[in-house]
Amino acid sequence: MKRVAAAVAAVLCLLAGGCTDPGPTPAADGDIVLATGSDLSSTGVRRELIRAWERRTGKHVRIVKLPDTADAQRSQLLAAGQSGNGGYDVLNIDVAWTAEFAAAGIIRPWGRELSGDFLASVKKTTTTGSDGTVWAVPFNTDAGLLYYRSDLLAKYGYDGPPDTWEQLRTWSQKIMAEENAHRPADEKLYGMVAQLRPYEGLTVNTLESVWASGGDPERTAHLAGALQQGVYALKERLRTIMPQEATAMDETASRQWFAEGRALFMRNWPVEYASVAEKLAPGRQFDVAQLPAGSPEGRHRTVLGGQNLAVAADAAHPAEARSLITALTSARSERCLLQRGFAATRASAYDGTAPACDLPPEDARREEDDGARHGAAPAGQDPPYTDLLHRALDDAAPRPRSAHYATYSKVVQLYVSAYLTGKDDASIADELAEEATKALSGRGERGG
Amino acid sequence: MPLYDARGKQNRALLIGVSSYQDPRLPDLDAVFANPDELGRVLCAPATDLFLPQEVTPLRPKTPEELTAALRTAAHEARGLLLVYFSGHGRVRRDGGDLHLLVETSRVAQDKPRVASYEAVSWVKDVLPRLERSRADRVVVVLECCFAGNADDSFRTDDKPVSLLMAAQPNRRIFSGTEPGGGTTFTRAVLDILEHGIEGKECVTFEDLAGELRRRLADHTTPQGGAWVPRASKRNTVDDVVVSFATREARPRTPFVVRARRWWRSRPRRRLQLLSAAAALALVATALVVTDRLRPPGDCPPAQELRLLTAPEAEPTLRAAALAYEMSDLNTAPVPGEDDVPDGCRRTQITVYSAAKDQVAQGFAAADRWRGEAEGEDEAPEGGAGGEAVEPLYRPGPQPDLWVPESTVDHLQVRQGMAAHAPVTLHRVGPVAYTPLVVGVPETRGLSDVEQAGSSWHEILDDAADRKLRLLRPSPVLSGVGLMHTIGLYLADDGTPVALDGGAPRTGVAERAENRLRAPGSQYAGSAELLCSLRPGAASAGAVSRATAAPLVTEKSLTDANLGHAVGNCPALATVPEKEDRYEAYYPSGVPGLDHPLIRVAWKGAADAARRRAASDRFADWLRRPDGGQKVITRAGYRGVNAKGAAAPAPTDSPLRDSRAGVLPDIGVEPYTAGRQRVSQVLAAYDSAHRPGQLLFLLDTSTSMADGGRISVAADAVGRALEVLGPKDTYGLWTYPRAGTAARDRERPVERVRAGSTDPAAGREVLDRLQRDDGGLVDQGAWMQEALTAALDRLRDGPAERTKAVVLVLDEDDGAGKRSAAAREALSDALAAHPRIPVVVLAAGKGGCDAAPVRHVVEGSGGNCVAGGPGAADTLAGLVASFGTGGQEAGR
Repeated sequence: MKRVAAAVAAVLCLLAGGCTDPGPTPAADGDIVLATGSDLSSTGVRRELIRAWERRTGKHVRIVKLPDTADAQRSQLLAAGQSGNGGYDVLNIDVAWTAEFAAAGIIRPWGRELSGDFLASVKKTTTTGSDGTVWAVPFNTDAGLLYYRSDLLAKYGYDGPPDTWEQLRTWSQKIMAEENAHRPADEKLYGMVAQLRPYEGLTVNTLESVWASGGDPERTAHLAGALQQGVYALKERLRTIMPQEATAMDETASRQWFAEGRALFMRNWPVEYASVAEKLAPGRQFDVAQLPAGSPEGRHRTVLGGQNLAVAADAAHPAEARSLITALTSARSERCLLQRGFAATRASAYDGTAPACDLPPEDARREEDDGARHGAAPAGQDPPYTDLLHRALDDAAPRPRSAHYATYSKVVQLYVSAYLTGKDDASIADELAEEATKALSGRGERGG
Repeated sequence: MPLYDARGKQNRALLIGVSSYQDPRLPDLDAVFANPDELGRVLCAPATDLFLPQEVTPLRPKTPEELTAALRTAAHEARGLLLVYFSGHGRVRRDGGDLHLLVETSRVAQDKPRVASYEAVSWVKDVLPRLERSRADRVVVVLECCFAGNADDSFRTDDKPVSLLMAAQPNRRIFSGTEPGGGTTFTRAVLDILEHGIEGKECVTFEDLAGELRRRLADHTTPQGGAWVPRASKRNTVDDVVVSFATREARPRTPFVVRARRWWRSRPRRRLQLLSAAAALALVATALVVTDRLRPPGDCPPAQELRLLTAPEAEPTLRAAALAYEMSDLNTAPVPGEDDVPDGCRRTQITVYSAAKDQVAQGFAAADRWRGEAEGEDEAPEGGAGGEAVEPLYRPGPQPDLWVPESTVDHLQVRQGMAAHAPVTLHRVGPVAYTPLVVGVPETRGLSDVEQAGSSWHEILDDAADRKLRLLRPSPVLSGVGLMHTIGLYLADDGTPVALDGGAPRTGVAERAENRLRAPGSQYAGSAELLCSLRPGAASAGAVSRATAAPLVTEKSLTDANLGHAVGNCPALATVPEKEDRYEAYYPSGVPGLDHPLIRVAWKGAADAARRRAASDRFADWLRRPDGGQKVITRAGYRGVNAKGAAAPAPTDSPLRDSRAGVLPDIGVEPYTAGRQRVSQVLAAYDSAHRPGQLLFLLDTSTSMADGGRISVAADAVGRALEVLGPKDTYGLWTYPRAGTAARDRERPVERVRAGSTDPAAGREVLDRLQRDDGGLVDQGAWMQEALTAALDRLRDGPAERTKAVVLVLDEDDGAGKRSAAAREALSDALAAHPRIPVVVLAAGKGGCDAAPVRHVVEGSGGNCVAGGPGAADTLAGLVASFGTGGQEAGR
């Protein structure tokens, strides 16, 4: 694989007009150019970490604001890279794109191995899965959590979150029946909300359901059995305990629904914790747990999210780019990220052995004020879900690491979305398994 | 329960029967002898309609190896259904475990409690692993032997979907050895069910078969006496598998696809000839193309990424079409200009994304900046005070390789706005999808004096006025649908087609139309969003009553709404809406429809330009072909394109043909061909038919706005709204609270941009500053009531001839409890004073549009509310555009 990637890189170099030419517009001004989605451009802890590096080194980082959807970010970075047009030094990329960007020769290998105490599951996202070469460094990660209304569960005699998806469904049905008996129609309580709109979120929810049904995250092809049960379980939940609107929900829309008190459970990322805490009406309580397992002895699997930082293949400032990435992903930086609401990628951020976050107080003040306001994390302390998040990350697994992941995800979205909204119950598992396997192979005919 | 139908797939049936045994302790089973052949006959019978003769293997194994080898072969060859049947002796250990299937040479292990038998086939060690490794989609196993029911205990597969039928419950013998020849009781029942079907069923599924067997064997006893109950079990599957298509009912013909596949499978020699011919051709071709042809096929490199930009409403359809192309065989054919891609690899991948019409135009107008951002060039100084506002890479998004606007008019507008030496060229390929423009009239309020087709806009407007229908149009600024509807209203008022030499709109026509449509706050970012807001149960604060709303939309989106498909952000409904919630489509005469022309976009300086062009052209060609993308496009409810590029009739499987769609699929649709001049005339008439707007933006800048990047979202939405102001519109930008400790200070908003300003740059500069480090956010509670009252008072003092509105952006409740009753009363008075000034609220915070203070403001002023979230910026812009002249010609 590495040879192929190198060959591809060489080809791209040739296409770009020779590797001696660093690109059409070498950034002569000496700025380090970092391309990223809009969430890094203005405020926030990741921006502060970049500023801290600027102060230390006297260099300047210029941030290019990419489109605000992940699909469009990937499309532009990939296409521009293939056209030989990238004038960037550092790319902040979704973990799911790492293998493709490596194979396309758009990012440089980082090294033979990744030193440091990065979490084992997170480390996997930096390789292509076929050999050990590391292509990027984990910046922030993410794990799906189960949000639940602890007040309602307690009211009906459950003293903790459900352990299995089956429990989640039966508890939901019971509580829905009781609650809705005396609620007006427009305040109906649903059992669960999740991200089932046809976008990347649907792929994530599908994979989690498939893994809970016995699917093996390391095996990506020919998963017909688990796939079939996974999508069936998803549809079963949609049919019995979720609002039809869930088929149009993304992270924000599902969070709004849950925060309005209209669902008992929600699958979402930890980043929504503060929002829910702030917006849920007084008197209502919620908590978070690991996602349920498929069976009492099963693992609580979730899909790994987050971003990796990589050096662009035609970076004009590769040394500075490495220095910036190293600083942004240091144990101290990861500690800052955790305290400010992100999922850190290093174990030391969770177990307290990392050096304390040293962002200057004047930069940190506002965010810490906010933290205090919505009770997520008072200054210098960890968010309340920290231990849980650490456990969830240990049980998390990356999406298929393939140069053809994007097509795979589109295939999953198309089939599963049609299945979920269709009245017809015909089994899609075999065709989906076949098409998804074909998509991952990069080939046009049925993959071996 | 979902059904698995194996017809036409590569299936295998291994039918094992062992009737004679060498070990004298095992009685021969004469009855078994006939089982394999009989079952084979039934499985291939036309009535059963499942297996082809060459797919069925009867087997009477002497040795275990013979059985396992045949099993391995069948498992390896099957791709669809693998059926494994065993009839003969079975043995278990004393504890009932470790079921073995006995073949001719097998011996019973007596006095060995831990061993079931010798020279036999283990269910767990020999059979299950081979099934697990099979490449079949589904496996069905039938065990007819003593202790068959004991198979369930150890029945495990990791992933393979397997269904297991056991002739009896655990720990039962089912043979005495004295049964007469000619088939066993159990198998005879199986044969009868498979061959003749079950009363009242259209086919026989695995579950049906098990149920029917239990029914038929209910009055039988096993040789030891006691009930005989066949058992069924399955692993890794929730489906039910069809095991026979025999039925006692009227039977549908075998689908053509199945017959075609069988024809192909059942002619091995013909197939061999065809395959060899194809292989020879492929070899020659490979030899010609590839130089190092002996190399094994390599991993596929990532395909070349194409970026396809379109309008929000066309995005889902084009996304589905693009994926169909990606996965098609055509996409594995070499593309000119590519470099050594292994055979069979996909060449192209396509990302489809969308943006509002005015943003696309702004992007192309600033094409050099678009490319500059993509190359990391340092263009404008950071935070460029009053400088270039446009960040094309952020919005509209990626640099497109392909662009599908809603109509030719959008293309004309973009071309007009592009700089002479732009680093990009546009190449029009031709239309890919048509849809006529329609007015949706609630089914229960059908117009009386006009026909659904053939009436002019003039007549429709009159009749709609009589019936007090409220016409709603998507924004002509943001949406190609809105613009084309405006062209139709102005230029085809009397029903004559819009022609090149028609001249400017007739006097009074624009005024009359806009009088019916102008209602400030009634515009939407697009036709899907408009219809979504009219969905039964849709929560849209300040929305018009659904019963009297008549949306100006496309035939395609009205069909989606009527059939309960997903529209915009509204999910698909579980059922088709009731008649009173549907619309009838009226087709104003002479109005051009949307033609969705495909434009290839070539960026200067791309190193892979030749390949990019070839890949784009091939996709464009496929998209326009009836056997290619047109299938996806017409199935989505668009009219297709014929060989000449004109609209094709809707095919029979089009949703337009569903009578509940409320449309007339045979009405023709013509593209706009009247040139750029007439578009400009329409826009000028639109401008002068509108009173210029006077807006006041009022932003909450308390520190809570920093939470979750809300200030960015708010500044983004306000910046977006500034883009749609026309040259005659004015605005002001105020923030609150004011820094300072005295209550007196806090009551007065900060006038960052004076009301009555026209230059949007000043506003952008303020927004930029708010988003930067210090932010200028004020760490104090926000006193909304006082600030809004001041804003309303200021607007009311302004020139009377302007359309006025306040745009209030706030994040959470204002701590209403702490505010004096006097402040609330003052606000109520200001809201109610005449003439009323609508307040449009962007509610970024807790409770969204439902928060009490928000409702107070919206209801008190007759305004609207937009909840923060995806698409909020465009929705707000659509509303803002309806208060002004719309900025159509601004800056062009």
